[in-house]
Amino acid sequence: MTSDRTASSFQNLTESELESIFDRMDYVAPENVVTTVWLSLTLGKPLLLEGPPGSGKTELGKVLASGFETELIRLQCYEGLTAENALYEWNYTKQLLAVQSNEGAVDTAASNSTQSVFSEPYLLKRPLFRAISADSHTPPVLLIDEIDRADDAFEAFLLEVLSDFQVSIPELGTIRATQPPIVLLTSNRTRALSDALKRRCLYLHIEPPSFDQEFQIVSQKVPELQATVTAELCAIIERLREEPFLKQPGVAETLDWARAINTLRAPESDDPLSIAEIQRTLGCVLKEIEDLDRVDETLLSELITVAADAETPR
Amino acid sequence: MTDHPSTTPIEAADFTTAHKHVLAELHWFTDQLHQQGVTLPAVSTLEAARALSLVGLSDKTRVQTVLQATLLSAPDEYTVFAAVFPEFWQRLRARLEAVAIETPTQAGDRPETHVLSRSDSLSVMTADEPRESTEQDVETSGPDSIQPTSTQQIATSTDDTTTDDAAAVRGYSATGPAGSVDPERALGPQHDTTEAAVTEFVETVVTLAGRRHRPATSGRRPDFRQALRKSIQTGGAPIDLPMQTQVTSERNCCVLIDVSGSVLDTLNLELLLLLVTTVTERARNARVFLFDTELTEATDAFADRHVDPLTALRNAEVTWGGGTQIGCSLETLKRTAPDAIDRQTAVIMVSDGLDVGDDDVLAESIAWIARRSAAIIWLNPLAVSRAYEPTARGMATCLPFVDGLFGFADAADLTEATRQLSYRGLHGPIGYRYDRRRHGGPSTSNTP
Repeated sequence: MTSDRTASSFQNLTESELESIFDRMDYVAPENVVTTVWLSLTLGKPLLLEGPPGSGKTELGKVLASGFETELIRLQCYEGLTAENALYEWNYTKQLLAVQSNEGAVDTAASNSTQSVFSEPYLLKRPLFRAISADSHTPPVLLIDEIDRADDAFEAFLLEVLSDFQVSIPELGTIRATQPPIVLLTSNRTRALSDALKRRCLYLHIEPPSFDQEFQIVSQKVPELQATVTAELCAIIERLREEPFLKQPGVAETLDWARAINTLRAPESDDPLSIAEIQRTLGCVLKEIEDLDRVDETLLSELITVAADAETPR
Repeated sequence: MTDHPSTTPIEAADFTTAHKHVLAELHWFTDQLHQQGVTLPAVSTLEAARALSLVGLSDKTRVQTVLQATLLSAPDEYTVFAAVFPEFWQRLRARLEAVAIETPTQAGDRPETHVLSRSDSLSVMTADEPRESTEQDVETSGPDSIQPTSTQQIATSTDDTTTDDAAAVRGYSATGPAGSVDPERALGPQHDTTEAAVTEFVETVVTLAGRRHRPATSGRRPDFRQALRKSIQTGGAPIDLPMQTQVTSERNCCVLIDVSGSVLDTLNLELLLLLVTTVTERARNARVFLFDTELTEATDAFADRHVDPLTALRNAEVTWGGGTQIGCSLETLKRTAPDAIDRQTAVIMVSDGLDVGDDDVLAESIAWIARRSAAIIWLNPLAVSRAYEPTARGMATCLPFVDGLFGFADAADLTEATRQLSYRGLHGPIGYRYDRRRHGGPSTSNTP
């Protein structure tokens, strides 16, 4: 995959190519994820990713950026996020200093000797502006993370940007993206998004992975852990997800747990997981005190049984 | 690496060949989703068609993935999609097979080499907007019209030396490579809908947003109290309108089952036991009470998964049948097990509401439950009747305190209740009055 892929060349991107990128980046993607991402790239539509926390939504954006060797521009949403925080702001301090030192003029039609302080050097580009004004050969990946945390007003503003991929700055004029960025939006469903935003996006709900997929993920991300232990660990996680916990363990928790187990163990040890070992490291998987309390001796012994029965996938 | 043959131009061509039929079926499919409560924007059919033109129609899984990506926008909608998609796929295959067989190959009119590029298919799509499907479109392509799938392929050659009559008659297939007919698919969706319906209902109830609200900038409901308080600072003029949003968390569940004769005679006992068992398995904490003229707790009897539910009920030592004193029973609940219901608890009441007890006691008891609980979902076996009105004394007393009153006779009733609760929430227009079957609409049951 060359790095000079442009937006139009995504028209010629095949699923196999995309799958090979995921493989190269050690991202285990089920077939439906590959197809949907490929559709999003080919149709040039933003992709709305939903799923429980830790299911790999943000990671998908990082993988795409690395895979296409392009810039990842991340906009982390939060309550109170405004258009100024996301688009652009004038660097008032720099403008003031420039005017005081006669290096800049307030007049937009400044003479040659003095530069207008309402020009690009005095502009603080925020993520959306950077994504639109990027002039690299490959369009950047714009990851709008946890859009459900932002306010309705920001969501409405985002609609405008995602529709036209252009911004208007009164002092500079309209800046239009030469190539629309690859847009990924993630949501944890803490609130419902507007129909207008959803209509503009393709939708993908990422489910927790199957045992085989999770085994593959852990094997690739934590290769130093023995395969038998990895299988035990994935079987336990699969069993834990059947419990009605307040916070179900995601893939991120599984990876944390695998790394914790690997750190605590002797190198290349393939001893079966013990109850004490599970109890000691359960905080990596369960993050609520009520959930931890639910793991009693009965459940622990059940987990050990499940782990003992786990078979390493081929 | 998995090969994806359907991304090649040949497979994209099958969409173009029979795109009008595909669009008709797609329109039918989106219409079905819409009827089942899925919110679909007007352009969604067009988006779905464009996406289908890219991936072709030969692979069921890929078609399913593409339609999910373009038509759905919430995880709850996957269930509805899964229920409708098999029939859509069956209709689509049948229609395309019919196209392939009906396409006459006249003398000297061998299928030409016709490998369309993806851009060709897209240009056809954009030039020819989806038309409205007619009644005839739908009726002539029902499940009965499905044809055995052959191993026909899209013609890629004009080889005149071909003398196979059968191949000459068939012409080319619009469906691309195909396998043998799956008998299960031909028969339509065959799965245990009862268990699925009960599970979905319970999952919905135990995750219901309650009545509690918290301040939130992006909330959907104005916080009038806060607005009034803030307006004092500005001389009574409200400058900002504070908003609030519902608090969601996993719910405890309290099941109250009326085991009087009038209920048991009309209720599917197996379904009832399945419901209670599922609640005890799925809810964070579940308490089960049986009542007629007195109240008995049966939580422990249901807690053991290895015990047969009927045995559990026998062990509960409840004398079934006889009159019902709902108010008296609820009063007992209030007195003996007040901790069974708190603000995190969703109460599921299974009763016909025919009460022979003191009306004042009933009103006081149900009001206590309503104040204390997150929600009261009332399942009434009589409410499945189209003529039903809650005019019986007990039911009429309780109705103002009930968040949702639904019919309860079979799995389809639970599916309907689930649909309403999922899409409209506790504060939306829910209940037996809004059951579409009551007004002659289609059933939400997955039963074929």
